[in-house]
Amino acid sequence: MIYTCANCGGNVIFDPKSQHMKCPQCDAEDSEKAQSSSRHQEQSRLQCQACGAPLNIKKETTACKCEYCGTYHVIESRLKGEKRPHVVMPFRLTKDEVIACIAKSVGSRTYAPDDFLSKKTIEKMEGRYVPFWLYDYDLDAVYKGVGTKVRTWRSGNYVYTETSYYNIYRNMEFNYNKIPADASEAMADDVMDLLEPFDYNDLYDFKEKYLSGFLGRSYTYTAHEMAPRAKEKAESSAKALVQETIQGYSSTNGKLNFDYKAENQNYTLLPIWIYDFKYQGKTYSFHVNGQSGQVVGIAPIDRRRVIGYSMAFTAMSAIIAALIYCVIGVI
Amino acid sequence: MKRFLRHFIIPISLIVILSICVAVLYLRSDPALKNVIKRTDTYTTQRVFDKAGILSSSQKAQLKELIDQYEKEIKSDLIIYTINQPLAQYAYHNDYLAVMKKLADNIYDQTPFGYDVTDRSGALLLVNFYRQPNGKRYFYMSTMGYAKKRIHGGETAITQHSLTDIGSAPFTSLKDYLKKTRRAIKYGFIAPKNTVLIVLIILVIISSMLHFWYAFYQRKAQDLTTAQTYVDGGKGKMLGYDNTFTHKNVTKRYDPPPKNNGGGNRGGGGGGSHGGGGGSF
Repeated sequence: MIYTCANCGGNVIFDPKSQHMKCPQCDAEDSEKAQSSSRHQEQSRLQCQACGAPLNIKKETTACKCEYCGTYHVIESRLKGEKRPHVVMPFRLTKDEVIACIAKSVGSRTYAPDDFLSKKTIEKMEGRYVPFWLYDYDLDAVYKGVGTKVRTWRSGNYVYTETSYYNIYRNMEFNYNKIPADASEAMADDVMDLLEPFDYNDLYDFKEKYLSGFLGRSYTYTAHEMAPRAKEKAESSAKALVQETIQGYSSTNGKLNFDYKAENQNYTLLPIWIYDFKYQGKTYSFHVNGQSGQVVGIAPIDRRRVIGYSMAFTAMSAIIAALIYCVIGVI
Repeated sequence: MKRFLRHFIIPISLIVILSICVAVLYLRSDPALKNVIKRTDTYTTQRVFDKAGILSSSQKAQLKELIDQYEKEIKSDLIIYTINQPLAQYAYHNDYLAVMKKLADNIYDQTPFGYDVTDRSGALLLVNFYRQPNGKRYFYMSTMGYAKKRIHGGETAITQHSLTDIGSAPFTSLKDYLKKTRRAIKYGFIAPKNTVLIVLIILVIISSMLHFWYAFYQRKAQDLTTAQTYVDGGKGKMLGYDNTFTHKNVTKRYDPPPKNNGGGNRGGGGGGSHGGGGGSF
């Protein structure tokens, strides 16, 4: 399916700035007209509805861009039944805003090559909806243990040590809302974790139009498969919060048990911009939260700059040392 | 260039601040040098007394020329005195340096050395080329007046830093000594101990290594989530809470407090008109 402009026939895409559908050709807002692909095409090899070129897509792709004419497609047939997201968080940041976020982040990375944010490569950056499962848990955490308090004092030639023992018991209830776990095989878990948190006030019921203008995938892993990751996050949080209530002891020794009272999960799509930069045969990926602008990535290192800067630093250190030596000599 | 300046803002600032400090410390004029009245009662302008005969005529002339030049700058007399004298009969408990001190001070006092009328500012270096029974040869630097004040106890450092090779290369060592003495009197600079230099070199090496390592250290991003992020209301609800004291035990250990021997006062040295320091080679 593609969205075309009722006024000029251009490819209408979702505009993060206005949060409306917008035609890049004539700037008309909400002028979209959905053009579904034929049933036959959905089932066989997909072709671009605008130019007829084959669409180079993978089996989990739900939204793509024609490599030849740049038309954005939403593949409806892959967004049905259990593969239909419950909610979606539309992009908030435009490409220009994301470039500014990366530039600010890379600006503090001294050794990145000068052409890291060149127009030629940054233009290829795409926004991508990444499938996530959002888990809700009602969790009881019960801690049982022993704590000690140690007091030491001196009397004459003797040092006394008093150790007091306490039974520690905590029973706390936690209501966790929307713990995210990315469900795409293509995304690294540690990167996705660092992109958090997302502001869930921006979650809306899923509509296909939000995908126009971006790339998208459906989940690789089911809610059941991803639940251990979400539970690990919940339990890690509960452990820290229970621990906060156990203070003032010299040492503690106990066990924390969890009891899940209720759980629920929703399939959602979250917005992430991805910038791939090739440098000396290696691809460096920067991921940017499409809502908050949080940047995650390792910038490439220009080794010549490292050597130059290191030599400059050593020279400056030597000058500083010489000046300190001179100052010490006269004071 | 902008990135370079931003990266090196701290070392560049430090260099600027320290350079200003050094400039102020070294270029400040000492008021004591301005109102100096040169002595006229001196009967000799000789400054190099080579009683040991280790310098050639031309070397002595060169040293004298250097001394004349320096004396005008630092308003202090610089005297070099070499001897070849056994000291065993005068040395109490083999303290040859004490004998050298007495000799150097006496030579300075008995000859009307001293640039200034009021404080007789000057530095006399006495080098004894005679190998004493303990196998060592000694040198001693005696200072007075303004020179003493500026060197402020750095005589040992100056002599030991410049005269270690005087046995094999007397002329070069003496020239080096004169340069260091001039610098000490003019700027108040006494080369710090070698340990200071070693510490500074180690710091330069370590900081350079850390800087190089830091170039390759990158964090993907800062984790912005906390334990509270996904908890409703940011905290849990306490359903049960208990901290019951059960029992205690007390142990004792024999550990007498350390005996206090009391501290002794460090004795203050008496003030003499000469300052000085020396060593052996």
